[in-house]
Amino acid sequence: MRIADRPFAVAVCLALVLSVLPTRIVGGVVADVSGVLMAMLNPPAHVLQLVREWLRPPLHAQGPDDPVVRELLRERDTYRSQWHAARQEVLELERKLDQLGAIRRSDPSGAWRLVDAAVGMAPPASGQGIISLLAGTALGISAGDVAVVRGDLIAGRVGPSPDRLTSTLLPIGHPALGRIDASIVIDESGPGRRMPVQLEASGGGRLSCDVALDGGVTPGMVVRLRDAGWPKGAQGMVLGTVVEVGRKDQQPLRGRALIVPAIEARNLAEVTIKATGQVKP
Amino acid sequence: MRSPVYIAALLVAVLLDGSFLQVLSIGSARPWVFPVMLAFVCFNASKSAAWWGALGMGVLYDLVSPVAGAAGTTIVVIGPNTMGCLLAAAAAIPLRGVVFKRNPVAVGVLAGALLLIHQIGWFAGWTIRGWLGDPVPWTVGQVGGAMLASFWASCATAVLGIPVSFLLDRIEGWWGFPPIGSVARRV
Repeated sequence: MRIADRPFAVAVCLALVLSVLPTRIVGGVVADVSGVLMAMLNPPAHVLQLVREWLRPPLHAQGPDDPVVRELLRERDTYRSQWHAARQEVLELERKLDQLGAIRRSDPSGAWRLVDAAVGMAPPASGQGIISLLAGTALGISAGDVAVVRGDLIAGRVGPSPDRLTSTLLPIGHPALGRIDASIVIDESGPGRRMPVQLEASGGGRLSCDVALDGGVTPGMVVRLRDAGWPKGAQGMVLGTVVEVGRKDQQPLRGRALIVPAIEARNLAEVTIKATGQVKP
Repeated sequence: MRSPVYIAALLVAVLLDGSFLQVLSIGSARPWVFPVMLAFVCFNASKSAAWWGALGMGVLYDLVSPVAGAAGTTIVVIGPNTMGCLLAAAAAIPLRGVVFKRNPVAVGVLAGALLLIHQIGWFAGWTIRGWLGDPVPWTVGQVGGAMLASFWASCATAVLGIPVSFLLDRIEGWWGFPPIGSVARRV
């Protein structure tokens, strides 16, 4: 096939060269150009996100029409999350008591503040891209902060190097979040018996973990965060729900649970960040 | 082809694809509007303009598709979407004389096929990046699932392509395409 003109051939060659150059050589410049472009596209993209959320709200954002009942449910979820967090802390303290014979209280300062961040572009990258947020270090957002929805559902984690006015969100299920320690709550409404698991991304925005086949894990159970590498304010919050439990192909005596994130972050117009950084006006 | 019109349409397409069209998704079947526009341009513009349009579209989609790097850093890679769009254009341009371009169904179905071809280039581009040490935007062991999702997306795109190509056909006059049979269209 004949390509029409020489400038085009040069442009294609340039693009092909760029496509194979290591990120450390061209990544900075390309990321800057991308940043300028995204800064222009984010405001209209946010408007479209609002329209989309209005047309088709995320499943978990739907609630009863009665505002009083909705508020009660929100409070119930918030206190339930706090209860789970407190219970995990108690268990942790008991473990330390057994091991060290002394109490070491963890930091009770709760040094974070809530920041509402509008969602900009949720770029098309085969469902595994990152999400732009229209809030940054100026509001105290720092890398690793947790984005929550409805006070109890974790939407993701702020990516590294947030800018002054923008930042990125790695949604739950993104491989870049690495392995996440969590607990599958066996009886959510009862005493809160739980099974510790380690989650990993399994593609398509989902998570999976190894479970004991006779451990009582069934679809519908809630998975809550218990990872010391995550901010303290996020412990006990909901990561997702078990949707499938089956045998592992390679190890038939062990089970594999598939978990769907509690909230599809790409369908949101706004998230709340538990910001731990200092406000930089 | 009038460049300002194309650029405006491209920005609208990238906004719709990035922020809105998930509202029409059913499971993994998530429609995209850019293959429809690519098909529309490849079937109507001069060859040179179609090639440039495909290149610009690919570069723009690469620029608005940052992914998380190995250490959690954000990386932007020019290449995967560019290769995909050029590959799709290479498939579409020779069909200009075959496809009845005013038939929205034909354009829609071809847009779905172009998305599949684009995905081949996209996977190839990211596979090359993977060889160079960059993280690929799919989970190892789940490539089949990602490709199946691409198939369903192409089906959804074909369905969406019918009304979109109908609308584009209504505003064809704005684009300044050379008339059918003219020398300018063949260049």
